[in-house]
Amino acid sequence: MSNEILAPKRLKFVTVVSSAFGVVYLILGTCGLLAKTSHLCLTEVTPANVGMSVLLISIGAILFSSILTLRRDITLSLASSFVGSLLAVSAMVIQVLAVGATWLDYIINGQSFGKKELVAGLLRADALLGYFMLMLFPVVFKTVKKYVIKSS
Amino acid sequence: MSIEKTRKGFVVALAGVPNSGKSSIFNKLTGGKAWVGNWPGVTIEKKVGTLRLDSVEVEVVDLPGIYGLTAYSLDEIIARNFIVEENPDLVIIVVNATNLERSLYLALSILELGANAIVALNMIDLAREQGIEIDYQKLSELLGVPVVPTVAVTGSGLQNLKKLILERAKGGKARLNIVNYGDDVENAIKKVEELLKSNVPELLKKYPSRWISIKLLEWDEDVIRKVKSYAGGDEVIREVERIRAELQNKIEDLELYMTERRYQKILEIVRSIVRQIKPKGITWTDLLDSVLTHRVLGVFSAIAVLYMLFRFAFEISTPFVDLFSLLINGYLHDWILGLKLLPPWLASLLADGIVNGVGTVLSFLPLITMFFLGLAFLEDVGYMTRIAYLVDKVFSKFGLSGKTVIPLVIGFGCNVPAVMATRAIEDENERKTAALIAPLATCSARLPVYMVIAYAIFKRAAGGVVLSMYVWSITLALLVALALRKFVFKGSSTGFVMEMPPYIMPRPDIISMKMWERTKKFLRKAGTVILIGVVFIWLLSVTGPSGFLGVNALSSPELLEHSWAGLLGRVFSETVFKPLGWDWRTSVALIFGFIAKEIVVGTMAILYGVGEKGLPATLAKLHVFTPVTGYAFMLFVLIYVPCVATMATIRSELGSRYMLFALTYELILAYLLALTVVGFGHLIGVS
Repeated sequence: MSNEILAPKRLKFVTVVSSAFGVVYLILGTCGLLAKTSHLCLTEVTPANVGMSVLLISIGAILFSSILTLRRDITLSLASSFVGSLLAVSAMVIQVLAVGATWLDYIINGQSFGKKELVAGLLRADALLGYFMLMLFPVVFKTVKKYVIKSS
Repeated sequence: MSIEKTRKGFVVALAGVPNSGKSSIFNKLTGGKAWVGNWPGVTIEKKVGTLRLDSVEVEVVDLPGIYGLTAYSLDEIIARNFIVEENPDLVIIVVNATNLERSLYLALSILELGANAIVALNMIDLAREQGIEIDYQKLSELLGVPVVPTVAVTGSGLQNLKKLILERAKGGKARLNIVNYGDDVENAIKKVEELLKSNVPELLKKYPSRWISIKLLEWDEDVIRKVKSYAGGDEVIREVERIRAELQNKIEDLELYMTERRYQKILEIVRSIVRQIKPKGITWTDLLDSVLTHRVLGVFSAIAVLYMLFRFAFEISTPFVDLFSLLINGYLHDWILGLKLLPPWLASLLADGIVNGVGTVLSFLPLITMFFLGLAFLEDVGYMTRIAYLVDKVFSKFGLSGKTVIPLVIGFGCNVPAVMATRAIEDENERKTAALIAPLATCSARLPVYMVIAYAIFKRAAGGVVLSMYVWSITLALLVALALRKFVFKGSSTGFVMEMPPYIMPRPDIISMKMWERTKKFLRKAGTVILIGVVFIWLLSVTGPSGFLGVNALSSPELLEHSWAGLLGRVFSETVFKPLGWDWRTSVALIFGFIAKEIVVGTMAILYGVGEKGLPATLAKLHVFTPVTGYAFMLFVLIYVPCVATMATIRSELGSRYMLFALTYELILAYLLALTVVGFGHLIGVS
């Protein structure tokens, strides 16, 4: 499949922005893994949480592969942007729901849920990056949809 | 449940390959209301629903998802036995329009069986999207049965299907000789038919002679057994052996040849009915699969998706788990204890035994429901098949197919649904293996035990120690699978023959139905067993050799020491657990852990006279464990007997024999491994 299906500018925009986010995900994921030992990382955004770090690295790797595969396989490149951003938005939704669940749990157990915990939960790396990815997702979706329709 | 006993109108069987939309058609026809029984002689579930057409009640039986009617898979034997022995009035063959070849193989097999059938040509919309146009009227002519195009998801074409069910169930012609096997084989078939007519005429009252002849020439062991069970059957088999030997002078592999003839026929049919109206472009499924089944990116995607599934189930369900626990184990428990009308022993039995038992089960409910919700979502969109595909290569080295990954993943949440999820595995030996290794997946209930012991002994290295339990869990599951496949359920992996279904938008009705079906089973089967188990433990705790100790025994370590439970703990700690260095309290906790693994930490907290939060510090202060005995204890908790609910599920899935087998092998393995760890510790001087 050639680049003729999509405007090169649009294609470049989607893959470059996705890959840039991929790099940020990879850096923050690594920070999460090193949070206990390194003082360079913001532990408020990337707490020492292995699960979260692995998730960030996974999403980062998928998003970053978008630019690596652009010349070789345009379908794979677009799919990487789409799947990566979909996972990123899902991760954000899950984190926001988890914060909500913790808040509800505090109420049930008669404890007070502090503002600090709420902010820390909502600004954790997977949520924070997810808000930005939420803005990018419609663009990626439209591009991929156009690609599928035009190529069939 | 026997079909004959419940027969009111017609009986219709629904057959189809996996991912053909058979379940969707079943749900649409029956309104999703199904009752569940077992297939005769096996513990594989049978789903039956009712469809009312005018004034006629039609019983719809959902046959297992199969690819053919060979004797290699239990599901396929079940399906063909049902069609022949239960003799349904009609068989609806659900054919996947996007993968005609595979579906038509099953269709030809069913038609050869002499069944009165109709074909539901499903997913016709997806076929059109792929640029494929199918001449269904011509397909009907070629197969000799009516064909109705359907889209089960939207319900399109189902009215026509219903009309046709009513018409054809009253009677229709079967077309037995749909495949021509060539002169040599056809002559042989005729010879065998003659033999059958003269030697075992009784058999032919039940089975079509052509089908039996074909199966005998293919050397189908199930059919050979059937023929031999009739007087004169042995002679038939001897003669068939001779005919086969004659044929094999001309055709080297007869079974392969006959399969090829069927595929030739299918190819002919497909060529004459399928027209590519536009070139096949890139579909959403192609696009998504380029990442989701990619050997590197696919693994990253799977890690992200499974991690999110776990977070969804375990973190988001937390407040609901606590709420259930608070309402039942808190308010209801205290209310019963406060009832002055009841004698103290009865109040304790109801509150500490029954209500706590029900509470334990119900507190699992939100977690289980959300896990099943997430899983049903991933299944419905078509993603779980991709995960299975990704791990297939690794798992095949251990005699398993990629499908086993699904029960194992579920097992990290809870072993009960994990054992139930093994039903999706077609190969019976592989299914049994998967069900028996599923309890080795370290469920969430074991995590608090690891955390308490690890923080008490290993301090800063606790995280790594807990993680090592997960590594042990996966390693042991695969090694045990390898051993089982080598010595007990012999045979290599059947491979991964399931085709990738196209991704579809999730359907809330199907997802909620799947979730509810599984949750209902969990409540019914696990709930009753846990309830009985907890009452039993209550009895062991409040009574002892001196009689009734009083209900205070449950909160008093001194009294509990003199109970049957305490006595049992002492017996174990002074005998079998002595080399492992565990005291009577930890031994009692392990015994209680048989009911549910969550109970281990709670019991230890009671026996050491502290709350669950103060337990790690107390264990460290009292030097209850050394690093070696503590690690051995964690390993033992990982492997030893699965909880009562899991045992009950294994029993219901595989039978009592396999339940005992699981119980025994896990106990032995847990003990030997714990002993090895302690022994190794002594050897290197760290005990």
